[in-house]
Amino acid sequence: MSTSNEAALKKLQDALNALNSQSVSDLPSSQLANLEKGKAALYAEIQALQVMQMDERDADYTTLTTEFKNAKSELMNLSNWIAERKQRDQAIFSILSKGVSLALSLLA
Amino acid sequence: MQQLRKIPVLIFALFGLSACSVINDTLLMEEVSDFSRGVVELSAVIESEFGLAEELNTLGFMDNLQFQLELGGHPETSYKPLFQAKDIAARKSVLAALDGYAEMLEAVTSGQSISSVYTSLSGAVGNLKSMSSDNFNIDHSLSLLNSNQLVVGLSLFDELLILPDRDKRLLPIVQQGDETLKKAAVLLYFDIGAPADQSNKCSYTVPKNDLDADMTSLRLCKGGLRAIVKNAIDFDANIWNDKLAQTSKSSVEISSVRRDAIKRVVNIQKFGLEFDKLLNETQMTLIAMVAAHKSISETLEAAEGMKTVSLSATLKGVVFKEKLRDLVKLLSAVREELSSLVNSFPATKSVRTTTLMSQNTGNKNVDQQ
Repeated sequence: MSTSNEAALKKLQDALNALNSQSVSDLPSSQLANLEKGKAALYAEIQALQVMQMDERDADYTTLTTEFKNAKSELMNLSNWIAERKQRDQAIFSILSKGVSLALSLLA
Repeated sequence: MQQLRKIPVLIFALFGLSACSVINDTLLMEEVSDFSRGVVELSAVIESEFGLAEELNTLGFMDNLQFQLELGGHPETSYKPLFQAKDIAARKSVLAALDGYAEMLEAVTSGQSISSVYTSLSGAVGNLKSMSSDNFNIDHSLSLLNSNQLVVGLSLFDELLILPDRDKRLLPIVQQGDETLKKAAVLLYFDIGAPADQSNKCSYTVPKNDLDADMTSLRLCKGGLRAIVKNAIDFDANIWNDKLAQTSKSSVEISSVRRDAIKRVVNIQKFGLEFDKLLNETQMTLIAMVAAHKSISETLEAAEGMKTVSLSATLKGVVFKEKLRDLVKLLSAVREELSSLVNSFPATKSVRTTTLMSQNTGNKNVDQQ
């Protein structure tokens, strides 16, 4: 988070803490309602600033999404390569197994 | 005949070689399968946490709104969600891409997704497996071998041809994945954040973290989901504290309402602690996820003969699995507690009704003081 945001966050938090520390038991309802309204406004600003801090990472997430997609694509290529190899090896395997079967029959 | 006598020796050697390969591959498959399932579950947990934070924020907004109305105020009624759609979309995309990577990794190591070719291959292997010792008379030189065992050994032959090459090609992808995964884990770790500053430097700057070092060494300033949740809990607890202060000098009639308010102010704080524990455990699970992925690399390196598989490396996958199991339980408890807090809204209504009734019947001790 930038220093200005950090400073703003601190000011807002200090202000909210000050409102929270007010003794409300003796306050008339109308004043308490205003106090609660003020607290809600400060709270919303604080949360917005905290979220803004997280927003700054959005671009990094986009970059990583691309990297994961690339890795997935490489795995897909590998998967296709395995499929091709299996097809080829299956043919070899078939010939070999026939050979073994033949040898076993001869021994029988 | 001399030539034929060599056949059992060759077959035996082939069988032995296949068995070794299968042991390595089984370890890899188990590690990848646990990792893949774990990643999918962890992604779902993180998505839920964002949702729960939003729900908690809504609860605070509603409690504040209601209290202001009870006091006869004119509150701002338009709700602004915590997160914008683009923030959620950026995180959902990376989690979905991470899921896709993990699932594809499992598909490559297990061969399950290459369905058509694999089905036909399974058919061929199945035919071979259907041969049994009854088909042969094994009184001769093959008598040392169990022919069924031989058939099973032969069925692994196709894997034997492919696995070394597959592992060689898989290793660089997984090694690259190590880096990307750690970056994603660090970002999510920062997103989850801290409820308070973890470094003295936070009061004047942002502490420099070595992102290549162990993630447990990261020091954060207050921020992220944990801070947002703490703010929301403090905000809501404060509303209820103020309500309690308002009723402190009221008549005995509303003592039950006061009790409800006390229960609520305590419950919301207890819930805050649980929610923070969930978020902290999620950070620990992210660290375990990175370690589990690293152990997959190590298993592949071992298959390449670059190093031996250590017990500690194998345990990393187990730790991730265990942490995740506890995390899912914790999430379920937190979800239930929040739901119970949201559903206790009628208790709030009774505070208002009783307060208004007290005021209307001349019990004006609140306003008059």
